Amino acid sequence: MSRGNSGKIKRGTVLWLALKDLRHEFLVTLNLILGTAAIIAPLLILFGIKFGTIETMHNRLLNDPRNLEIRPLSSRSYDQAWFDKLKRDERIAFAIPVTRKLASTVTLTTLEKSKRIKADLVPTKEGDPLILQNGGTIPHGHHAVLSSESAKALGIKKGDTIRLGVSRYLHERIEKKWLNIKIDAILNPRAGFLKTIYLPLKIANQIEHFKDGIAVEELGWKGVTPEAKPVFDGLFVVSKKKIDRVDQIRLISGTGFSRIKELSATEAQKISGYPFEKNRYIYLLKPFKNRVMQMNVKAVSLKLRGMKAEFFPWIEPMDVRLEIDGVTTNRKLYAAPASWRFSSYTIAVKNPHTNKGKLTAIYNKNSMQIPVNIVKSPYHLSYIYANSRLAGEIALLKDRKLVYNPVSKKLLVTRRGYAGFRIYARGLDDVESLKKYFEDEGIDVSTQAERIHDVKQLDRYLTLIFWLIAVVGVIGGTATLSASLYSSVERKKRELSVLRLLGLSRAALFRFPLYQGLLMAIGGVLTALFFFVMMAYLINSLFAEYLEKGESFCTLSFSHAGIVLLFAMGIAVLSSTLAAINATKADPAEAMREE
Amino acid sequence: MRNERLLMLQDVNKKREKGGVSFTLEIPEFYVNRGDFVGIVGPSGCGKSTFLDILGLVLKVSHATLFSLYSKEGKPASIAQLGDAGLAKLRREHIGYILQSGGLLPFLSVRENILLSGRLNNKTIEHKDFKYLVDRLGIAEQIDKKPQYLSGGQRQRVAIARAIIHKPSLILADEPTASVDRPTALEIRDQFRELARENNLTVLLVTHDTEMVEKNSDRIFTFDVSKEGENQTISRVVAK
Repeated sequence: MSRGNSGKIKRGTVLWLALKDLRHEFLVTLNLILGTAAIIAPLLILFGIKFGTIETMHNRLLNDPRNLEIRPLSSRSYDQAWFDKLKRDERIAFAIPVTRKLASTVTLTTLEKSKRIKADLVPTKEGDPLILQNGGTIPHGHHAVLSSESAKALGIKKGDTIRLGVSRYLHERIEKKWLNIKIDAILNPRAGFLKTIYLPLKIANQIEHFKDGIAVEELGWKGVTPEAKPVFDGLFVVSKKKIDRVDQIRLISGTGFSRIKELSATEAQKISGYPFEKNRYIYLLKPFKNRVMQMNVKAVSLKLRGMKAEFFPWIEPMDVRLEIDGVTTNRKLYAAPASWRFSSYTIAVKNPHTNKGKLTAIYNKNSMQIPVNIVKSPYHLSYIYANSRLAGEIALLKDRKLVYNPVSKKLLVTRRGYAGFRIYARGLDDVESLKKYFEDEGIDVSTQAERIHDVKQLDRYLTLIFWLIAVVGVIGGTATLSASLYSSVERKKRELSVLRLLGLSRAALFRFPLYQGLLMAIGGVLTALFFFVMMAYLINSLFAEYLEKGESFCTLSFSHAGIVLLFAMGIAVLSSTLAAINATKADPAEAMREE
Repeated sequence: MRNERLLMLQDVNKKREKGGVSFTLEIPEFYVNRGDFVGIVGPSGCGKSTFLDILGLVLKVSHATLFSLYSKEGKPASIAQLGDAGLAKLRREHIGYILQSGGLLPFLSVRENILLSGRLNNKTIEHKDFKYLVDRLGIAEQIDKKPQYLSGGQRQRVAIARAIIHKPSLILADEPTASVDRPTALEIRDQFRELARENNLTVLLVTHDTEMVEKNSDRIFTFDVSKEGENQTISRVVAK
């Protein structure tokens, strides 16, 4: 007559029974679903307005990169290491150095020079949100992006070419240079109301160099070359005669040195890295804090006149890497005494196999590489000796970045730092924390933190108001659903007794009102969402003139709907618990009594 | 088959108190074999309901030397020691109930009410079995109706179908025709008896209708009620 597995109730039977019962009492069920929806729908609309308004304000803040911008209020020197540190900060989405204000004012003209304006030069590079989020593309080479004000003043459009002029006052005369710049894009007015030209950082650097009187070889602009000037850590004075104390004081007085110490030959060799002639009096002069420069050496040399003494600049030995024919060795570098008479960029090593090589010096994050001539060292020590000028230039690496210019065959110092920066935070929440970070570093910055704070404050107050209303609604809803389910169980005690008699366990009966509560909660939420969608459409239509494309005054995300559903289901479980406990008390013996 | 034991009670009693009056039901020996049609008769207040609750596995006994339900293989299940879940499982699998008022669930249709016992036992009821039953009981046209739209007789027929469709070991019928008029009662009684015979069902029929019992039952039990003082009544189940 039948087949199947006995022992267990068919899966879903209790849910099926619960659903059948709800359907049987359709009007009661509808009443409860509408009652639940009547509580949830206004809360959804209220939350939708709160969320939509705040989200719109938040997005407006977020979509305008100026709200994420952090600008310094005063100039200072920010070196590359400082910018490298910023790159590792998760809160920062974009950072770029800015040249000095004086060096960033340029003249822009149309090609036929009919229109002429003064504009601010702002450096840009890949990822610049100000450009990318305002309808621009990142310019490269001699290309630029213009602010809408600049474009309007010049009367030019995307794809046109303009002339950029920079001038400087050098050697009592004004020099002016011009560059032809192609305009890749005109920015949205939202990007700024000033006359601005956005150029690659490289051009901004070149213009600043020009203004500083430094030559810009690539553009053929003449000027001084920033050659590396040797610096030392001390000076050996070697005399055949002992220098008395008075003369010793004279040597350090007004010469930039602060200490003088007489050394034995052994002590001196240990410090200098090379032996001294016998029967000599050796003195080491050191400054207090600064480095020893050529003028200090010259000052001492003047004071040594008539004393029959020699002097050798000294540097603290530095770790260097010497590459000869592809083989690299690490050594200590010392300054050779002038008496060895090395030509420039020459080093001496023990047993060289060749006379050319590459010398790499590294000091902290600064490194430089230079081709050198190699000669045989007069000593069988495993050191590298560089002629004193080269050693002094390499010692400058402790203070400045150096680069070898193969054209001029000279070591040049790179720029020390930038006057300012333009930084964009990753998110609105990061602006305030970055502001605090920079202020803690002693850098006063300008941000839109207050505006962001105001929106957040509004969000907090609206959230509080929402929750106050929601609590009242939830309490009312819980009470209504609890009472309805409890009375429903009371009414159906006989049916539940029959189910118990037919073999439903207490646990299964517990689930009966629980499922009914959940089904009604789901029904209530779905109905409330339907009302919400209609009301949100109406509200957004009414306020359409204040909204931009893609914005809503009243909206909810799918995750919100999911959370509301889960929350309502949680309340339903809570509300039906009492009824569920009551259902388990249904006595199967009652089913056998006459009604 | 007839001598195969299904239910056995020996030296079982149940004590109850109501309004300071003590009532004890004593069952010295009671058994049901597979295929038996056993009648239980007695006047009101004799302990018939208590006896029915015990046999229906909805009331725990106060004492039992033996109270077992036997499987087809003759393996006994000691009922007195089972908890709520165990009793529910036995009721679900082994007993089909025909209640005085039908005991149909108002939120299910006739078809769903009948097939419910299959659902509860995770058994698929064959359509031909379903059709055979509703045709035999004359309720084929009512299968999509809700119980509230049925007459008393139709409800009882649906209750009979629900009780026997999953072929339980025992059918417990409590006054199955008490709520219908006499002609209908006779009709139902005959249909039920025929179905029981055809399907070799074991039936425990509890009723005050001695004629119905005497006409159909293999064995009949009644109650021997005695008063022990002012506040104590003892009722003993005895074979008639």
